[in-house]
Amino acid sequence: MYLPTSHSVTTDYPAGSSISENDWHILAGFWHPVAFTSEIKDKPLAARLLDTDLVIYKTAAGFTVAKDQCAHRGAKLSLGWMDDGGNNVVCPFHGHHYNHQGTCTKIPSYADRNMPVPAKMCLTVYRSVERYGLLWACLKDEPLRPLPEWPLLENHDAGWLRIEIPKGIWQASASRHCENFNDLAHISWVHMKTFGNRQRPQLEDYILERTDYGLHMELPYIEVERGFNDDNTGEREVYYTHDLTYPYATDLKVDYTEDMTSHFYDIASPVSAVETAIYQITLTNIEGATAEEYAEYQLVTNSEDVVVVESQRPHSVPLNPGAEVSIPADKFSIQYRRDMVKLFGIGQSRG
Amino acid sequence: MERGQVSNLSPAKFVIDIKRAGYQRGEIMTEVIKQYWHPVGLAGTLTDEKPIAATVLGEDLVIWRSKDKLCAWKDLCVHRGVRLSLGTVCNNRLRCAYHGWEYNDAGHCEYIPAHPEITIPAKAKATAIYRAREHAGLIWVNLSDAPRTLPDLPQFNEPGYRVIPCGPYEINAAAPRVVENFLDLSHPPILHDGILGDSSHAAIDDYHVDDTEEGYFVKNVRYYQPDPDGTGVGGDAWYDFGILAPLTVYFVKHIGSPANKEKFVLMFAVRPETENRSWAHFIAAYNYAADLSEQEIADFHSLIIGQDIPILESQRPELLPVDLSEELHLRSDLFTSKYRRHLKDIGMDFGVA
Repeated sequence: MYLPTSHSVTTDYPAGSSISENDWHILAGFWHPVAFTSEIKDKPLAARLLDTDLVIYKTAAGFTVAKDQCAHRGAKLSLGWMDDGGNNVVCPFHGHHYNHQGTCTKIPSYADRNMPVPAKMCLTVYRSVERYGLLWACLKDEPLRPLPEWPLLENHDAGWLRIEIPKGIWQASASRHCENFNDLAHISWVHMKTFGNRQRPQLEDYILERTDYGLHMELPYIEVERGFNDDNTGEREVYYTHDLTYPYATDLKVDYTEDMTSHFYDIASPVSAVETAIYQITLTNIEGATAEEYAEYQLVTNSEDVVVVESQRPHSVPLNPGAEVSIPADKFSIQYRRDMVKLFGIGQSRG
Repeated sequence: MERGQVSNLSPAKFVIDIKRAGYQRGEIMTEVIKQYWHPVGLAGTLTDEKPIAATVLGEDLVIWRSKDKLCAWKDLCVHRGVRLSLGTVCNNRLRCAYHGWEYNDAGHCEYIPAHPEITIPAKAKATAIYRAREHAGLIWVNLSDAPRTLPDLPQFNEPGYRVIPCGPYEINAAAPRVVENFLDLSHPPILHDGILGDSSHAAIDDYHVDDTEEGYFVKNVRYYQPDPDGTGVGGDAWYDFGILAPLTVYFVKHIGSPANKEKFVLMFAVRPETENRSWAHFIAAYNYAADLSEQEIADFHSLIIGQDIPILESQRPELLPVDLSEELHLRSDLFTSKYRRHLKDIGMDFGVA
């Protein structure tokens, strides 16, 4: 009902967050996507990252990502609109205007137009950058790690088709999603409407290497070809190359033949400990299908995964190695969990 | 976590040593209600191919049948925490939907498809195994190491009776509230006016509650009922009620006179999914009305409970107050007051306040 009269200590850790305070401060130091730039039109857009409500808006100076809270009385700016030729976001409550730096430029209730705007009347603006058709934000001033480096996605010739997959919201943690995207043994079980091969569930030892950005993994697999609702169910040998940039961004390259390749980029953006926004982009040089068909195929694939991943308990990935039973196929997830602890200090209790 | 210790199993005097059991503050204590059997579904819906999922006292369960065993386990594959109920039954084993791990009916993983040659890790097994029984057309599960007897009625085993399970009905209310409604003797003429009573004759004769070693019973409660049993033939209905377990109760109904040999028996068993959500099962048994189809019987019970559900979901507080100084109790509420006292006496620890 009321907060105390005394000056409370301000912290960026959101009250009531489902993420532990230790992990929150670490995860807040990474870049996470908060929108496809194609989603950001001439209205302020709401997003949520790590239990923090954000407003995203576009001015002539570019994109701004700020805490979705007016400095005056805490209303959500994402309920407002753009004004002054798109250069200011307007709070819907009392019409306070803010520019691309989050500075208040106009307080409409002032009778005296010359009265100065209080210096504290400004938004909490976060670091953001546009890349790969995504808007990325970091809730800390100094990012821990750079963005993923995906040169082909940034720079490719007309022989490649780029497909933005409609954003998904999963009721699962980003870590569970990311492990699933990089899980090999589930393909023969879960993906029976798409490319899984129930006849080939065995998994040979595979290449797994640490890189300066994350993990690199490669192995062959024999898919069943069930593309685009055709009746072809023949086998095809493909080669998977996974490159994970910590914490949640994967480039999965699938080589079908020497000159037929698709990249499936997958970035899990943690909305909370139990909800994740999924950003995916497909890049392919295989002709013969439309962007809509590729997107539909990816959505069917996702629909196969989401059922099992949302059922996983606990929601959070257990970092105690004894909490789940692991087998040789899990070499990737074992290393991934270990690195989260050793490289970044995830899972520590704050002392 | 060490589970609670029940130091005395006599029905009236459970004592739980909370300190010894090492409970944490805020943890739901279910040591008392855990000892009882809870219905998790109709036996007919559990096929040989697919498991079913049900939550009991907040615990998610997978229930499946092998060739010779009915299994109820915690609904979790120990490999990556996926619900086993998403899987299938094959090779007489339960197969996880995620990576195809196969568990035998003893709960041991016997096959890991990614590595057919490796020695299966010793920890690759069901994380919790519970007792499961099929009885009177339902599947019943017990979460305790010290189970009480499965609720039964003699009519379920007598020749001449048709036993028909109905439901379950999902109700967003605490299970003790739902059960109490079944034992509430003064609501039928009002809420079920025109079917189980007549609102112009809502007065209830005084009745006696027998307090015995076996529990509480009420005999020979009479109403005029326009449609006492789904046959549509009205008459005076004479009820005997009994409480078999905190969440399993029944009545035996005789139409016309208490001496009538034609009986309509109804067991009411409520599964507490969480404190605020319940699943109600009826098991009806008739030794007459052979021409009444199973569908007609199910429709009749759907009609009745459909009238009860909005009332139950509106009750506040949500948890049943077992302290009789709360709410107002009339003479006609003697039986439900006794029910509340009974729950308090046994230390009922779920769905009550």
